[in-house]
Amino acid sequence: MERVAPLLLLVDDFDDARAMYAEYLVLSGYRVEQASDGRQAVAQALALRPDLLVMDLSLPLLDGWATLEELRGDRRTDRIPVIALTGYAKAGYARRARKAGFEAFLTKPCLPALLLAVVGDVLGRIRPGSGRAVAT
Amino acid sequence: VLLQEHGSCRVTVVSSPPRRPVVASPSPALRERFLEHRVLETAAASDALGRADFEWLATLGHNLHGSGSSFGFPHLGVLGGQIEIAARMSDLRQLAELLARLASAVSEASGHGTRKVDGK
Repeated sequence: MERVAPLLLLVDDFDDARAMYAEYLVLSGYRVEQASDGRQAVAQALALRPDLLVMDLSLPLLDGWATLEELRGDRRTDRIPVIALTGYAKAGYARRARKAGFEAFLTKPCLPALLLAVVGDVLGRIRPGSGRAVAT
Repeated sequence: VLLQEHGSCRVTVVSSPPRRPVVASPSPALRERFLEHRVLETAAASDALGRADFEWLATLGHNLHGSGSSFGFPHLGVLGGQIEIAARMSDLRQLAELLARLASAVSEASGHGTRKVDGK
């Protein structure tokens, strides 16, 4: 029985940032898929059933808030934890994010090491034992 | 290889140790591509400035602010933040100055190659 690395879905419309975080997470042992807008994120989440989403809040077509709402409204995706990663650190956003159902709220600039730590923490809380990436 | 007992069933769990990130910053290829995109972007920024497209410029600044440090170019991130603020304030004069500084900083970072990270 071989343990499989958790699958993360990384959602950001800024290609360079997405590629950078993806590279770091893959090097850390996670499997990573990517989406560049909210609609794509919902479709990917339904098709792939990732273990966790890392999602920007400002996205084309469907923003991060609405995307989370769609995910929570479908029982196939309603339990997938979602981390908000946003450059808009407006007052009250963190609280609103928690209330909306995001597991964690990170503001950019966010060094990849911090994202990695939070991903591990969230996965560890949601699925004990899976918080650490495992090479496949 | 770890051997675990689960009741009467013996399960072999093959598990490699977690991989540690082998780099503290993005790969040279990613940093190079990041700078190439910024070169193109600064060229397009002149046009945006000419048509006073503050939303476009704010997005440019916002993305740069959010990513510069992570790519090992914190000074670009700082400039990005300033550009975003100037764009939100529709301050054309300040934007012109900041974009000139950005073009120069990107050119310098590109000229020194992607080996130059955090000024080292």
